[in-house]
Amino acid sequence: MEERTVKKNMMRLIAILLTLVLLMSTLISFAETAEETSGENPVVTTEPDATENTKTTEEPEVPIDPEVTEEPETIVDPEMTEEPETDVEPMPIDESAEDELTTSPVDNSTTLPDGEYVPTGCTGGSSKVSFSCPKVIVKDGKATATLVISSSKYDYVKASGNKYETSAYSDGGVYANIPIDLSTDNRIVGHTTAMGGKEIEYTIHITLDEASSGEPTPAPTPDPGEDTEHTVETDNKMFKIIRSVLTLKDGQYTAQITLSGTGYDKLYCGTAEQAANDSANWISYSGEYNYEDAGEAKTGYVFNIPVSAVNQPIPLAAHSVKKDEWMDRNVTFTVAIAETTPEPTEEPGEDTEHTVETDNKMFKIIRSVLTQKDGQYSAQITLSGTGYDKLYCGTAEQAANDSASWIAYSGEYNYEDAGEAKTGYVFNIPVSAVNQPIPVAAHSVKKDEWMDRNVTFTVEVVEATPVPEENIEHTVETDNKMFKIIHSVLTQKDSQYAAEITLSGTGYDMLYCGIAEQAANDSANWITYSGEYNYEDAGEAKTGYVFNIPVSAINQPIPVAAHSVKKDEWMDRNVTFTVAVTVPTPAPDSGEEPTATPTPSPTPAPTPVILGTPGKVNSSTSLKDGTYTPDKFSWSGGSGRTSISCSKVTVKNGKAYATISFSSDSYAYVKASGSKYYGSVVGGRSTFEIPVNLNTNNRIVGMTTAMSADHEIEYTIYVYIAGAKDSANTAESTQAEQEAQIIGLNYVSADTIEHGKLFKVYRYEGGCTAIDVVNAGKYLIVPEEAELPVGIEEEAVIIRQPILSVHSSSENTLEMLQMIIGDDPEPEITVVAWDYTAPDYTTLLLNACDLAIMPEIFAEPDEGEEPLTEEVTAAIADVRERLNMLGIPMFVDRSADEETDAAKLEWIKVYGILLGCEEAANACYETAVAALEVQA
Amino acid sequence: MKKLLIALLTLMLGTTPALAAEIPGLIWERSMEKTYATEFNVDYYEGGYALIEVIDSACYLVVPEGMPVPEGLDGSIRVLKQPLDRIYLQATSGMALIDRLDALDSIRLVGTRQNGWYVDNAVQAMEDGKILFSGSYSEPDYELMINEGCDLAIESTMILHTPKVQEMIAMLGIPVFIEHASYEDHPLGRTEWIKVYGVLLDKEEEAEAFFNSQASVIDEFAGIKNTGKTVAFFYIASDGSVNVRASSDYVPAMIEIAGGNYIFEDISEPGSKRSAVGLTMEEFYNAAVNADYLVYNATIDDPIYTIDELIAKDPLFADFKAVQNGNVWCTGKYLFQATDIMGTLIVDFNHMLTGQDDMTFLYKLE
Repeated sequence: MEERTVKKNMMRLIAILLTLVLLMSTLISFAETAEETSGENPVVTTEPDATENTKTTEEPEVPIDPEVTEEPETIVDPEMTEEPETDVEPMPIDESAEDELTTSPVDNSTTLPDGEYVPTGCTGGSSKVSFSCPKVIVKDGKATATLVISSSKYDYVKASGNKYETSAYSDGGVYANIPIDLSTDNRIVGHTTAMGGKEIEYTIHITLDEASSGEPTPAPTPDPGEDTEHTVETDNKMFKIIRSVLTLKDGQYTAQITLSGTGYDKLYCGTAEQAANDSANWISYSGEYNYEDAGEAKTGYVFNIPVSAVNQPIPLAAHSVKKDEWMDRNVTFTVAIAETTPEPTEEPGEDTEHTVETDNKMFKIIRSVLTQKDGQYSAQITLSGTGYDKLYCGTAEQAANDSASWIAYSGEYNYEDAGEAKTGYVFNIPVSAVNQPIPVAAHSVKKDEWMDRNVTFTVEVVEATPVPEENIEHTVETDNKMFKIIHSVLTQKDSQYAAEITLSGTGYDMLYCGIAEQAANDSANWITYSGEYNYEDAGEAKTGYVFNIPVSAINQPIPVAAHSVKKDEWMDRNVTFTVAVTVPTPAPDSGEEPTATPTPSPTPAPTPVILGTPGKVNSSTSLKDGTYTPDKFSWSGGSGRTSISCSKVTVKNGKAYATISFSSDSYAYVKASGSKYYGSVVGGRSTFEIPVNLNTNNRIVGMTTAMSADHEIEYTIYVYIAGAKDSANTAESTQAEQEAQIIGLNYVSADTIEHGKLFKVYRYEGGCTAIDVVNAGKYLIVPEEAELPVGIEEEAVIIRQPILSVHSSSENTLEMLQMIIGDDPEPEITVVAWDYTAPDYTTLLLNACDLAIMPEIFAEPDEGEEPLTEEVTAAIADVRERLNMLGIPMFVDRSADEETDAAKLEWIKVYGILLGCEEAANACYETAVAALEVQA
Repeated sequence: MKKLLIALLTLMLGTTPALAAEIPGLIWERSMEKTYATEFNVDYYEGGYALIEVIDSACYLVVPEGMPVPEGLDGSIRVLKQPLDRIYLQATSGMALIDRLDALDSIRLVGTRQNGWYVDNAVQAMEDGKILFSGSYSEPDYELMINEGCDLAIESTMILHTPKVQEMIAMLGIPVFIEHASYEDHPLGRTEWIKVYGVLLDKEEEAEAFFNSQASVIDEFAGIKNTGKTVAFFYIASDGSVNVRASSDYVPAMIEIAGGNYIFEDISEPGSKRSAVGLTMEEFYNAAVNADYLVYNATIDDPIYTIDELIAKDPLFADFKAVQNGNVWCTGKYLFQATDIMGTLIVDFNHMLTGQDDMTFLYKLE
């Protein structure tokens, strides 16, 4: 071994030597030539170079790159490990495809008025390259889209018969402005320089709504909560969705889907792997659905799931009952994109949960949306085939004579049945009555004859399925085993909680909020069950009653009397709704038991970090409906690697929704305002629309999948729109008010300063005081416990009370401080002289300094004043930076710059504010000024 | 000109220690013998003084307890006065080595939280409050460092990104030592840094003994025949790209020592010293589709346990020879802090290539 090394080293040495000799001789000849020409002695300068050059061939260069240390220094930082700029091209690699692709001209004319629009949708790209479209510009009736491509390797795009070179896009990737035919598929060609240069075809589809134009035009909110016409597909035959209601609310889709059977009892929005570690987000089936398939009675489970995106596969893990395993599945909700103008009459309205049956096997309804409007039901039904082309509400006999009332099919519906592609006709029919057979005549195409049929729409008394989006995460307990709540949906409205609870059985038929004794005498407030809920318990079919009750308090037992059917008696019960408090859970330990001899453990399973859901926020605003750009946005939290931005605030029906975006594509959802919100990933950013309380701190939780396990991180965001709230003071503000303005604080008053010219004092709600020192910054003195809007440190130096250890480089200050606090201050305040010209930072830390006071030289020079020398400026900047690094706030005292003695003395007031002893300070000031006047 | 050449040659061939090793007032005794490490040198002087030179970084004079600091010392030499027992350890790779020296009690502060450690004793020491978290490399808790009487900050090269922080620590009177173990090309070069910690912590014999035990693992492979098998070592980054090691990195070196061939004969990130290289799936596919073994690097990405999970990352993996033959392996998370047992990973690779069970870091995907 050693022999080998020695030998190897010898060889190396010889190699180095030879290289060196060679290099030296080259150098010498070069030097000699140089000497001849310039006469200067180049040897001195070239010598070190020569050695260094030789060295580099053998030894690594000076460290420059941090990533060289390949350990991720903090496993908490996902971005660190990400490779920047690595582009992955779409799959089809057809090396021979040399032929140039072309595009044909598109019709990019639009009826939209000229202006800039923010698209509501942009689809296209592949799984490897994503396209996004931040804006569409309409000029002279022609639409041009700014198409952003996530990969910077794309150097041109062909569209509409032309070629467009790309430029770097500010948020990463590249962009090109191309003519676009809105709301339809556009075929484009992108050229990537990767893989030796290649043109790839893509189809993009960009949609706009007019409300997104620059001005905040009130958006006709796209009917929240209504069923959106769609089809749904899965990538697995065993995972079949037989029924789906897709609703869009606040730009967020949710679906109630019914599986063909009961083989899967839980779903999860994400992959099977994630599902296994994130039980908090498992979605259990909310009910059962009985249906008939090929003459066979079947049951399917019903689930309510969020739908993060439509028209593209979304991962949905399904939990197999049999295998007790999570399976990866993909579901695609395809929403028909309305050609030109959608017919508003087509809108089927809000689906009422129901089942539908006919009296004839040949007349099969496979899909039905029942809506109620002004007390009148109507249904959009889809027949299993195309054998009947017309319907008639009545008997066959009537139908034959009343052609005016024939209802022709309004569309076709393609679906799959037992692996076979099928088409059914869709009809819109009035429904004269529910829960009883109604006569519907059907016209057979083949026989050209009307047939008598009966259809029964069965509507359940109440939706058995809870409304998921309102639910506040909570647990519920009772004090009695016989009084068991198996399911609970807790909602909050106007700070009042209410719950829909489902009891385990039907033994209690009424509840009462209070004690049994009161209940017996207050029949007006008895709460009868509003519905039944069928469920399975240990393989047994069971039914429980559903009640809607007000919840007077959470996190404490509330009395609820229950009426026993059997005994006809009221019983005293207590129910506790526990809402998770949003305290971040400390990150879990790696959890391995230490052993005497440390042996590497084969990867402890990463534990997901899950936090509570932040409580409901009041998102009401006095702003008019429309889209706004925030005047200020700031945030805090997380490791700081991922940043958050807020591009717009949308106000709908008086509620504000912020569109926030994380600088990482790994954020799967955001918990905010009592709910979980799923977003979209475009161009490496994860974007979400969440309810927001404007002009105040909002706590949110973001979940990143970038770490070894799902990891929820708490952030605080602050979205400010001038005049959004407390708009009383939108009246013309005075100059003082303008100067005093600190975004996020409500200004109260300005102090009267008698003599001082170089400082001003402003007061704000919540006990905050600002000291504005001319050319030396604004300082905000904050009471110990006060909560500040995040990002306020951009507006002022924050000095949080109490100040107990002051270090000052200003002699004046030391004097004044001594004067105020006296010899025996309470609480004990340490005042220490500190020389900024020979800074001793260790002392600051040892004395736990919480305020450093610097002399007037730290102020910006006043107008006309001679600027400081470079050296002094650098020294000052250095002290500033270091104090900042140590987290010690710095205050600049300019009392020495005041012209009169009285003005100098008035700075005592400033120190009274800083130290929180204004009364004593003001008394000192009065005495001192009086003494001054006596002297005069 | 000729004089210069001669002077240079003399310097190269001479047996006197490097210039940096000459310290006024100290008498040079010997240089430390090293086997694989190239990023540091240690020279010993009479009286127990030792000079550690970290190549292209700095020189540190370790002064034994009770001995004076030599007068007239070059200002560029950083003085480390023993005992060094209130250390802030930011360089994670040092933990396993210091643990092997049974010297965790000399560490008081670290730059990684308890859940970030894979060295069990370190986790326990933090649990017991014997080691405290004191902020990351970029934002250390200076106040805690001062209040805890920190006497040495051992930093990874990350600190070079925040020179002001390094300066600040130095200004607070705490010497900063920057370790370069990650720059070692040879896997055991990393382990050999235990000798540096041995000097700092006055545990030289223990260090020597431990290193020799690890080095002997390699000796066993000295004569082995190359199996001719090819190995790809990679992970899929969150953007879908494939992250592989540069050919000059220590992992390819380990594969070679273990009798395999790294699938990329010559790959590096152009113009960078990075040990990791990002590839598109196509590029990776072209190079590695016929590799005999795939090893998934789970030190950064999540570990995977089944071949299906790999295929789920990209369906193209189904075409890979190694996938079809079931020769896909995954590393444990512990790997990147396991500077102490680099030799063990070589054994693992060898066992993988020769079809033997019994591994420490690697496991086979189902």
